[in-house]
Order: sequence, then structure tokens, then C-alpha cells
Amino acid sequence: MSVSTPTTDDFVDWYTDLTWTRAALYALVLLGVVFFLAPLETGLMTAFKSDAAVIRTLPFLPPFGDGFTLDNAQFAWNHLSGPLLNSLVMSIPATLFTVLFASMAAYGLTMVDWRGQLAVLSLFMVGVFVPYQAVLVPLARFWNNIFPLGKMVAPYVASLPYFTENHAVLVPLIITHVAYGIPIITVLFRSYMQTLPTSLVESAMIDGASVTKIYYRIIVPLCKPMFAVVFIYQFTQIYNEFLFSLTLIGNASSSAATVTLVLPSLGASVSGMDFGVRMAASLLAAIPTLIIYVAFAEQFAKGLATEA
Amino acid sequence: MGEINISNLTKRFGDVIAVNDLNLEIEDGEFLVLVGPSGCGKSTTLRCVAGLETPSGGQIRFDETDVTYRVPQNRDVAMVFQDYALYPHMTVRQNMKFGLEEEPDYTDSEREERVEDVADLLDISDLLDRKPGELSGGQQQRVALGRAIVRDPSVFLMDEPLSNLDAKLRATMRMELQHLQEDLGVTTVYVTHDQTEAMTMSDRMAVMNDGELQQVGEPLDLYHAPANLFVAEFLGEPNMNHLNGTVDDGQFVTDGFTYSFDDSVLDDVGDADDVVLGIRPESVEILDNDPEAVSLGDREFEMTVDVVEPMGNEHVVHLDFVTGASESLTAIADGMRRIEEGESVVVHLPHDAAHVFDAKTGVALHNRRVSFEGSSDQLDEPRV
Repeated sequence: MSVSTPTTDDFVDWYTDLTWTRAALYALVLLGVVFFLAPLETGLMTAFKSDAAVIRTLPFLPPFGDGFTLDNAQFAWNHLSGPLLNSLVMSIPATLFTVLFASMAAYGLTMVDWRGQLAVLSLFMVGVFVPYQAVLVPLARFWNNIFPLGKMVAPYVASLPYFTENHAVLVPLIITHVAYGIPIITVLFRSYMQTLPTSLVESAMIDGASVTKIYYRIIVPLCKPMFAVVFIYQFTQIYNEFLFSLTLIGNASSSAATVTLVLPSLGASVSGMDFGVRMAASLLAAIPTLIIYVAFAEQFAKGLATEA
Repeated sequence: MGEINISNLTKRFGDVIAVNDLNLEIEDGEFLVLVGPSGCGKSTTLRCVAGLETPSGGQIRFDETDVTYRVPQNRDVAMVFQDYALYPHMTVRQNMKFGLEEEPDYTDSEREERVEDVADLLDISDLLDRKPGELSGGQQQRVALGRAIVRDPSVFLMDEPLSNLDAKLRATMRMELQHLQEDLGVTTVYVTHDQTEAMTMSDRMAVMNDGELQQVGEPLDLYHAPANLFVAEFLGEPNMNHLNGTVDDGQFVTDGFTYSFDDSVLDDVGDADDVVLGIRPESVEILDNDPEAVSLGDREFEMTVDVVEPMGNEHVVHLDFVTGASESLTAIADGMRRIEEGESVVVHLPHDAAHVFDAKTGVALHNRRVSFEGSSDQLDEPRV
């Protein structure tokens, strides 16, 4: 056995390999990295700069000495902690219910045989393409006049700690998000389930398992990667959603206002834009989605790989 | 407790008829093999018995109970799939226990015990806590088998369970499966496209083609007395020789080749004109005589050796007629014998080795006479 050690030959090899095209390629890659990361880095730096430092220093340089401050972060936290909680109270149940119902629907539409399946599936397909803007007015009228669920549940919501009567509006909002999330998530689940070998379900049937047992014992565990994908997708979707919140909650000063309603007005005033506050608030608002991504990253990658 | 009665079973997929008017009776404890080329409807038949497909017509009865439209859950059958269909997220133990969970008359510890017993029987006890992904193909196969046995069903259904194993393991498993089935005494329907599996394992075999049942019977019955040309060609390796020709004046005639039939053959052939003469390769005798030195006797022909395939115990010899006939023959010769390619030989086709089929319908008109050593009974007439 001989152990190879770096020699001058290796260096010569490396040096001669380094052609102009290769150098150009590296330069381009580096440029790409800078292009994508610079705004993020700038935002992060700005969030920790005092007003004076924001004006006087280059945006992407880190804050030095007096220029460093936690005031922006403090301000953002004071104004956003409530809305953040509202957003989570809305997004988490909405996501869980969407994923649960959509996976059941996909299972029923893919792995179980029954008459009229295609018609129901077509309805789901159509649901994917309904634009949010088209339903805003009917939606508002439905929840306010036809079926004022918010008003109905208001006393119960108010009796909970922290929550006020205003928060009752989150209940219809959750239902709306679930309803509008189900079609696309169902289609995603369905395409994943179609890749599963049918013999597994058949085998379970012969083993005497009922349709429900097959769902929670066989299908749910096998669809784990897809659950991660749709969980991330749907959570981000609902957390970032603006139109439904605006329509049903109404204004940013409501105690039930979500992050997306409050964020646009934060740091903006007649005297000008407070960049430090805006950046701190934006980063704060982004934290929940970042946590979700990191937590499910591995499953997410698996899910995407198998889906393609 | 495990009799299966299939009557007039038909299954259509759109315009395609997968199974056409199939009638089959399977006795309790019998090992029946459904065999045929791919697409012949054998798997569809099995899936109808399992309840995974709903028949388009006909009836399936288990012990006189009509189960035609019963869901698989209520049929008390166990099935081994070609891809094993082991649940990948469960351990072997959980896989085997899964089917038992629905059986009401077990306590949990009894289920555990039953799983361990069957694992012992199949020699997979040390695999119980592994996941299917960590097992080799042969081990997965045993687990799939164990999962079926554990439930103690009234019928086993097997859909090409050995086709994903290598040749050596397949031969071992073949024997083991047979022993298991004999010990357990459970009615088994086994689907395969492999005629060796069908011949070696079955009590009776059913040959299918194009959705139609061709013949049912004991393996040797089917081999020696095939009901038609399809069964004759399908069974046996190498394939049966067949020559297309006409019957003329008590002789079989094709270009450059005549073969005289004896009386018993002629009686069976009757007034059919266009026939197919079939001769199994092992019936083709290559004589030691030098063709130059002797004159040809009755049913003897001079032929040239085209290709010799040495198998060790025997040679598969491909022969051409020197008379320039377009047909050729395949023969099996002893493995110890020297046969050179290009050599001229005398070939004898014994008078009692001939099968004759109707050229149009493929129906067997006459089958060779066979007597087994130690017994004098003649094979039954072909049953269809």
C-alpha cells in the first residue's frame, strides 16, 4: 500500500487545469452568490443600526460602535408580538386541518374505488384555479351576513385567556384557508400516492384491514415525505396570505390583526421611512417560516425528490 | 374448508377480455398452478378469487358460499405478491402481525406467539426486528410467505412469488413451498409463467392462453397427453418439434419428408387432411449407424447436425434434413456422447412417439402412448 502525498506534480496539474473558462465560471458563481445574499445581509445589518448609522454608513457594512442598537428589534417585537401570535393561531390549525383533510381526500380519490370519483376529482382540479380576488366579496358577505360564525363564537373566544372578542374573526378565517388550501394539497398528495405500489394497499385489504385502517396504518406513514412538503408549503402560504386577512379582519389596528396586516405600516410615517425598524420587523416576521423550513428540511428534500 | 369453485368467470377491461368463461374446480388442500404466457389472464383470475377485481360475469364460490362480490377483507384468503408487498415502514414482526390484528379470537400475547411460531417454521426468527429494506430478496420472500401463513387462511393465493429470486434460490424455495403446503394442507392457487415451477410443484395444473382455459390436469398428463398444440408447445424444454403437413395415403407428407403413421394413429386422425406432427425432442433418437454404410430403415432419416448445445447431462442437438426440407428437428442426446457439428447422422422417429394435431383448430387428434415403468396403466384421454 502506498500513501499518496501532495507533490509538485499535483500542483502543476491543478494550475494547468485552471483555464480562463474555469476562472470565468467561478467568477460567475461568486457573482450569483453575492446577488442573492446581498439583500438579506443588508437587511440584517440595517436592522441593528441606529438612524444615524443607517444614513451615514454603506447599507451592507456591519454597524460599528455607536451605530449598533437593539432599539429597532425592541420596537419591532413590541408591535409584532401580538400579530405574530395571531398569525400562528390562524396558520397552525389551518395548516393541520388542510393537510389532514386533503390527505384523506387524496386517499379516497386515489386508492379507493368508487363511482363518480372522476367528477369529484374534477371539482378539486377546478378549485385549484379559483383566484382569491374573485371570491373576496362573496366571502365577506358570507361570513358577515349569511353565516356570521365570527359573531356566534365571539363569547366563547373571549372567555379564553389572552383572546378578545375580536379574535373570533380568526375562526372563519381558518375555515376559509382550509377550504382554499384543500384542492391544491389534494392534487399534490394524489400525485404522490399514485407512485406508491398498489400491491401494498391490496395486501392490506387481503390482510383484513378496513379502508380507515389502511389510511392511518399504511398510507400516512408512507406519505411522510409528502406531509413535510405540503406542511411547509401550506404553512408559508397561509402565514404570508394578505387578502383574506384584510377582507375578514379589516384593519391593522384590530387586536386580531395578523403579521401581514401590521407589517406594511410599521416604520412608515409622514416624516419618512425608518429603515432600521422595517428591516427588524421583516426579519422577525420571517422567523416562523424559517423555523418550519429548518425543522422539515430533510423530509422536504426527500419529498421533492420522490415527487419529481 | 377450502374448496374453490369458479364457474363461467369472465373479466373484461373495456374492450379487452382478460378472462373468458373460465370453469375450474379446486379441491380442498389441493396445490393448483395456473400457468400460461404473460397476458393470458392467469393473474386476473387469481385477483378475482382474491376479490381485488370484480368479475364481469360468472360466479366464484368458496365451499358452496358465493363470494363473487365479497370484499377481500371478508374472504379469509392470504396472498403472496410478486413484489412481496411488505409494508416498508414496519418491522418484520409488525408486518406479520398486521393481518392478525383483525382476527378477533386472539389475545395480544397469542398473536405475538403465533408470529414467533411461524417465524421459527420459516427460519426467520432472527429477522423479526428488522425492516424489509434491510433484508435480501430471499429473506423478503420468506417474510411475505410468513405473513400469509400466520393468518391461517382457508386459501393461499400466490402471484409469481418466486420470479424475483435467482435461479438457485428459486429451486430451493420451490421444494420448500411444496413441503410447507403439504404440511399445512391449505388449498393453494399459484400463478406462474414458468412451466418448470408449474410441473414440479402442482398437484394439478391449469394452462391458460388468451383468457381461455386450455387444459387442467396432473402435470404428467398434460405433458404426455396435451389437449391441443398450445399446451404441447408450452410444456417441455426444449419445445416439442412440430411439422406442418398433410395426411396422404396413410402417411404424413411435407416437402422433402414423409413419415408413415401406424394404424392406431390413422384411426385417431380419421379423415383430417391438414395436420401438425409433434414429436418431443427426447423421443428423437440419433442412431450410431454411419449413414453412408447402412440403408435407411422405416421412419429413419439422414440428417445433418446444425448446432449442439451441451448441457452437461445431455446435449440439445439441432438437426437439418439433408433432403432440403425447410423443417428442422431438435433432439436430446446423452451428455457422454460425442456429436460434432456438421456431422451426418441417422435419426429414428419411433412410431409410438408421434402426436398429431389438427392444423386448423390445434386440437390433439392423437397423443403418444406412454407406459410408466412399474405400472401398466395408460394415461387418461385428455380432459379439457
